[in-house]
Amino acid sequence: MENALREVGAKVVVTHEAEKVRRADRVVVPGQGSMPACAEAMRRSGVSDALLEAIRKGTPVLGICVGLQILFEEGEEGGGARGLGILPGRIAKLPAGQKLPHIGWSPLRATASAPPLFAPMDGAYAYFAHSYAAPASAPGVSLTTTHGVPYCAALARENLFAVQFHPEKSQKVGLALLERFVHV
Amino acid sequence: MLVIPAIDLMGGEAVRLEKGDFATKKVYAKDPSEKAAEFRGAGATLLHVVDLDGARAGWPVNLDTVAKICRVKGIEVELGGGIRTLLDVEKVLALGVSYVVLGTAAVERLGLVEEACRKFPGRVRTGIDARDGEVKVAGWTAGTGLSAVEVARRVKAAGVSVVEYTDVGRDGMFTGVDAGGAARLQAEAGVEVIASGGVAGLGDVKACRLAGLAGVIVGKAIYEGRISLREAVQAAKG
Repeated sequence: MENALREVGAKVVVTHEAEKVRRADRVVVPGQGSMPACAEAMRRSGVSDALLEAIRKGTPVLGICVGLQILFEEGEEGGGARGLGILPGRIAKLPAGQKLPHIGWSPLRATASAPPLFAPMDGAYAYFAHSYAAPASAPGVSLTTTHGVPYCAALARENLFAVQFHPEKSQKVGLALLERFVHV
Repeated sequence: MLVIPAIDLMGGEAVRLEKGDFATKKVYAKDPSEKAAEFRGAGATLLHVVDLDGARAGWPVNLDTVAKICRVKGIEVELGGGIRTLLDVEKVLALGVSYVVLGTAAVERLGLVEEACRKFPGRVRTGIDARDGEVKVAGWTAGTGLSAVEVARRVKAAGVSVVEYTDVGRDGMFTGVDAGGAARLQAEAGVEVIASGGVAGLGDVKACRLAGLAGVIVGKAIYEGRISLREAVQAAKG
């Protein structure tokens, strides 16, 4: 992730310090491990509050994978997880009968409300690695994809952006997205 | 009984739609806070503000305009449209909004209504928008299969004491308010009901008062000069 952002010209600081998050021009939340562990670690370190402040004051924020999931109110991973509650809804397990985790390339479809950051990705393939996802009906959904059911691949709420796929592993399409984000 | 003038916001302006259809937009005021002051001058004490952009997006959008309206002294503001998380409830109450109106959330996510009522007792209301008795959500574009009474009972159990009942089929159409339906809802669900949608004249205001309702929301009839807000406020006093 760090390398991919440097590749598109960003100056990157990897941190779990709230103060650095508050001061950043842009924030990328890659999300580590499971949704419960990630949300809990962010709350403990105070980074979740710093992130909320950053979003509120208009800092462009990009959540990736679990970094998308923790924005929601709750998740069913690991017996239940409380997210940051910025977006309404629940992160659910992808349906049984499909190979899980879903690891591989899936095609994206843009919604009518997709902002310029995501609209160019309509029809492109992106690289996913996950078992849980946000619903396709969540407010602000900009890209959807399908693995058994349609679900949210990317969303935007004003200055807050998030993707379920991994831009850093999605080759040209992913780098182009990060480049657009760095210039938002 | 309260007569509650309505301001619908789109792109920072006060607008009205017909039957909730975004294509029928008509602008009534570039600066909605001036309308708020005008309504206060006519004797209104509560203003019903709907963030139409928020209802469509799924989160509050016209926050600067709402904050400006809230700075008008002497009139309280209730706000609905796209408020779907506890964080958004907190955010709009912090702007100076007195009551939040949860619509979609009341149907789909009762847990949020409960939590909001616990955290902000007396400041959470729910809008129940129905057409032919069936509750509609998400900018009136999606049906739920639930009856208005059933939804009102559920939100009452969650801690809500005031429900705002809109007949979507009548809104902006001057067909007369459904005072009888609102009164039935009030009796059957045991909550206070504010009626809205379809108010065409003073007769509607009187009908709501006689039906024992908590209030009536008046929108287009004021803007189109069919009803004088001052006279309506008087008529509501009986």
